[in-house]
Amino acid sequence: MNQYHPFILPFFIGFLAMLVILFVRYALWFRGFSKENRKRIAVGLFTTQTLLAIKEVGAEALLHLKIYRTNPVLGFMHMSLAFGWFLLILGGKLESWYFTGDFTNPVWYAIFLRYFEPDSTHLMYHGVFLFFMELALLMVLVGVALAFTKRLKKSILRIKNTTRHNFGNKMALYALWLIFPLRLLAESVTTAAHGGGGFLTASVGVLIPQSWAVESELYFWWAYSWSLGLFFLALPFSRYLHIPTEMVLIFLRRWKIEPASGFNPDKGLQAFEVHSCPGCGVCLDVCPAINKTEIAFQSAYFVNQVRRGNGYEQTSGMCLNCGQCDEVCPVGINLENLRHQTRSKIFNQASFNHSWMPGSMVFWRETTEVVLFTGCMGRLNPQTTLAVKNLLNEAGVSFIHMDEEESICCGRPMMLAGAAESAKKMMDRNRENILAYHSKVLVTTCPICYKIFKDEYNLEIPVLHHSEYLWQLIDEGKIVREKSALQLAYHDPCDLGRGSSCYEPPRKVIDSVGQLQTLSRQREKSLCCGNNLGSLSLSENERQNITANTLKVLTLDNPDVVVTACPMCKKTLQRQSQVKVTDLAELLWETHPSNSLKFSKKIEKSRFLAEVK
Amino acid sequence: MSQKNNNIKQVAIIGAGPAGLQAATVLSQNQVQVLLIDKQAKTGGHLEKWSHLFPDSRPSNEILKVLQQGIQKENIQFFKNKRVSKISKSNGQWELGTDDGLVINSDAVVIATGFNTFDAHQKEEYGYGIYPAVVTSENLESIFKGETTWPFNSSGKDLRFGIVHCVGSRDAKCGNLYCSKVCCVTAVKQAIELKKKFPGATVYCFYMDMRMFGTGYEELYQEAQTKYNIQFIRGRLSEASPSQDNRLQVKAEDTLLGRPAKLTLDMLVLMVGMIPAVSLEMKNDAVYLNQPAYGSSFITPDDVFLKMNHHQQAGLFITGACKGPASIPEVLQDAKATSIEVLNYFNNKIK
Amino acid sequence: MAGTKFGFFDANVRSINLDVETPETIEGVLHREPSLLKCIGCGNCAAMCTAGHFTDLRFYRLNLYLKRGLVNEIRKEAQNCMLCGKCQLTCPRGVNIRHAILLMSSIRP
Ligand SMILES: Cc1cc2nc3c(=O)[nH]c(=O)nc-3n(C[C@H](O)[C@H](O)[C@H](O)COP(=O)(O)OP(=O)(O)OC[C@H]3O[C@@H](n4cnc5c(N)ncnc54)[C@H](O)[C@@H]3O)c2cc1C
Ligand code: SF4
Ligand code: SF4
Ligand code: SF4
Ligand code: SF4
Ligand code: SF4
Repeated sequence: MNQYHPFILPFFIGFLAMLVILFVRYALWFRGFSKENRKRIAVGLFTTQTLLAIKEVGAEALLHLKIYRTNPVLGFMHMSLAFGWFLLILGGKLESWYFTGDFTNPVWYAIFLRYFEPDSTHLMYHGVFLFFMELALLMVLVGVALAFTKRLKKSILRIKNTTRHNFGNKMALYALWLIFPLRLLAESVTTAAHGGGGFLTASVGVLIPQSWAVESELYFWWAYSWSLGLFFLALPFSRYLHIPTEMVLIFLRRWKIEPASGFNPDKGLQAFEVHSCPGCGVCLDVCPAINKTEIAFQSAYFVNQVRRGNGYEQTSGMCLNCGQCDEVCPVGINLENLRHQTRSKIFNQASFNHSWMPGSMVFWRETTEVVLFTGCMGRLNPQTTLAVKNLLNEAGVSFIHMDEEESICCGRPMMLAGAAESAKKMMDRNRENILAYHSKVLVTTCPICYKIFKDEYNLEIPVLHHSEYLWQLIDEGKIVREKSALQLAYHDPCDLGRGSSCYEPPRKVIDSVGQLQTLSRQREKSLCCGNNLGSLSLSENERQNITANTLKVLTLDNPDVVVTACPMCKKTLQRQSQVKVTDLAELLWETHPSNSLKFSKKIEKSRFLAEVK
Repeated sequence: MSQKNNNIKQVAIIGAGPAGLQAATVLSQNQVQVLLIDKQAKTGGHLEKWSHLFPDSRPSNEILKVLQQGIQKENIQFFKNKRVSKISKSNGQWELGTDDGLVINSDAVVIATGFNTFDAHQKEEYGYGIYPAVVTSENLESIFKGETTWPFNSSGKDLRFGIVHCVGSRDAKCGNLYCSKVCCVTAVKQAIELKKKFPGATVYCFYMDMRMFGTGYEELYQEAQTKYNIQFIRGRLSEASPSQDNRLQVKAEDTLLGRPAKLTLDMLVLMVGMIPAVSLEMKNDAVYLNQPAYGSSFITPDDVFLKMNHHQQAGLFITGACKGPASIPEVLQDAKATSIEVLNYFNNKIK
Repeated sequence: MAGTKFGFFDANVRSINLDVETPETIEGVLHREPSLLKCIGCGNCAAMCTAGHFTDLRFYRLNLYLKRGLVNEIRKEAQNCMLCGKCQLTCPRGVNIRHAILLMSSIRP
């Protein structure tokens, strides 16, 4: 039984080279792990997390269920390629074991089995094996065909944007395209020469004259071996590195490895993350800025730029940090963190000094139920602040408005720019000031402040967004409203919705006074207003393009009012909107029985001055 | 509609503001039958709302009367409360459609739809619609005319007023990059007017640039400084809020000193900019007069030097402030120029 | 250039020398944030500024320093900024003030 022929060398050398390179690269990345993280690996290895990781590898790396859920055709393409190939490898191994009765045959023997053992009719159940193997081959070929058409005609796959490719990636891509058609040809020619073959290779085989097949059989096996070898050789240097890396990442995540701070795309978890992105493009279509800007900056491009080591300086500052891509990324890369770390690297020379920040001036004060914080942006929306105050008065809640005169920024904008240290100082001062009021609960009208208060401040009192607090008051019967026929479209602010998972309270408030519309992009999928502080360098025009598109989605069903819950979203949308845009607190206040409802664009005269004490 | 005499040409004029009235009078004096249409019940457009006019403080009634007498003398047919929403042309004849279904035919059309003022509610931080003491320049004119009352105790002493320039103009955030041109001089006019009414008052003007483009304007500015001691502060306002004593507390930046300023006021006047009254849209060979959206531009002439009064089709003319911010003397001159062009068109001198 | 003219030292002269070429650092900032060129110095940013009531941070002035080549003046003022973005949300010319400040506070004289 001959198990060797020189044509296997290109494959074998490529394969070995890949293993060595992968080993070296991974070892280098592993060295970047902190002590704690290494400990986590050591401990995690022997927990059920490892088993769960294996299950996840099956579901995500092979079946690609997450991509399938967002885009079935794209998911099927990835699945047929990855899972089909996996079946071929597994099947080949089993088949060769069955043939030789020896499990430890050479790697290439299983891969090129049909060359070494063209005719298997003498074995029992050989038909089952053949059918199974050729079905898997067909599956991969369908995947390849889909991938090919994806390049040619993006729209078939319902993907509007395909990632761009550099030269190295193209090399690997072309090799990959060739592997399976060549395998089909090689096996078919061998079938034509020596008989045997399954439903696929036999039907192709009959088309090939036997004498020609005998003569040229080897050329095809050489070509097949070369395409495999080239692909494996190119893999560690191309985006296909994501295939093995993605699997490793799943384990690392299960073992609860924590991201290190700093920009280290060649070290530790960040290295595994940026090399796990297959450029699937799921993050492209969901991005509110897609096709609205001069330069594309979406995560698929950005991660690729970070991997390449150039180009990210420009794109990292453009992103709005709306969190939409984080929400959908099937690999689960922590994109927001990656962006922050990139920014902190780009602006590492920037320094701030806020030693002038005023401290709390509270010497004595009667304690109140609520301490109200409206934030920097809140100053631009006095109408919202007044409405909240009126509602608190209506419900008989005692409150103090802590930043009525002056305020210190909550620190989140600073954080978004990557300056975590400076942000920390601002947070400390604010925290002191907030706690000095000894109130029972902190209520803020700004989702930006809300997110950071909740996530980073470690306050001893509960933090509520005004939508949550107002809903609580409605629920307790302290604010009573009648439901009207008003058609209301709700805009989820990024930092409230995706950022803080607060979807229900604002909806409940709105639903208590009118008819909440269902939108094509809402909740987790809602679009950014266009002015998220996450973006540093989008131009005014680009921002306005994004806003215009968001408004289009919001007003598709002709709502009477567009309602939001963020001073910045309100200001941004209001300027460009033909439909009235308001905060939910204003909506709630203006539907007070004593306020005749005037929802025309112009609100005649003030109803507020008299009520505010 | 009205009978058709083949020798007498008909022109439809959309908008009976200063520009429309002036064009109507001149064309009628030249044997053209004029059909004057306005969405409002009265003629006069914005002129009818103003109290006294820059640059010479003349009561606006004087000018309005002259213009109205012009159309009365000529027996011009006035269609009131009709908003034109569509213009189309077939076989050399124009057809105008209004919101309520009326159809008007004519041989030529003059668009004189003028402008609207910027909706100051959008600048929420200035407190318009929240605090009664915040008014627009348009509101102030009606207060001057006695149609509305002062939003503060007018018998009070030491009154303090603030005037904010460029509200809704020169502002990319509002979608209006252009300068509204007349509001600087209007601010000066209104500041002087306020001092005449309340000689003991202090008036602050917060400006970005003083654009005194017309004859006599710079002189008026100087008079405001020397004779009326009006304070001009180069800088912007940040926000208005209620003060302890229920007046307005205002924060601003004084850019020439590079320092922030705080002041208490009895009234804040916002110099609202001009935005187009209609936005034209060509659809299926017809021109639609739509409500302007964010960033809509004024009507563009075919050539800013040579065809200032023409718009894309032969027989369709544009005049007055519908092309962009302008003062009354300017729109009156423009209307006369447009009238000549219309007559030339009827005499086949232009195509 | 001669050190003295009519008995005065050049070093004492207050005037900004506009004859010198713009330093590269400044060109770099303008290149990375071209919207700075749109500023008209209206002062809205300073009026809005959350830090402006406590410090001498005046963004319009920072931009003037930048355009006049006065590198040394910039950082001291810029470091007061909290990046809150209130100025930017209302700047009538659409200047990306936060980005500009990040770039400016990175300038090493
Ligand atoms: C606050 C303020 C103060 C001013 N003070 C002065 C001053 O003191 N001196 C001075 O010289 N200038 C002043 N101006 C400028 C002056 O008001 C304008 O130059 C002048 O009104 C322009 O005239 P117009 O006829 O072109 O437009 P408008 O006066 O706006 O008239 C347009 C007319 O068209 C009608 N119309 C619009 N659309 C339609 C439609 N679709 N169908 C039918 N009718 C329609 C309107 O109802 C209106 O009557 C001031 C402007 C402002 C904002
Ligand atoms: S970032 Fe995530 S969603 Fe975007 S291309 Fe990469 S893997 Fe796909
Ligand atoms: S965070 Fe939002 S804006 Fe940024 S790339 Fe992702 S989807 Fe686009
Ligand atoms: S005329 Fe003066 S107030 Fe009006 S937009 Fe121009 S600069 Fe501003
Ligand atoms: S608000 Fe904008 S245009 Fe005005 S001075 Fe500041 S940066 Fe310049
Ligand atoms: S971002 Fe900086 S300059 Fe702008 S308002 Fe905030 S603190 Fe002031």
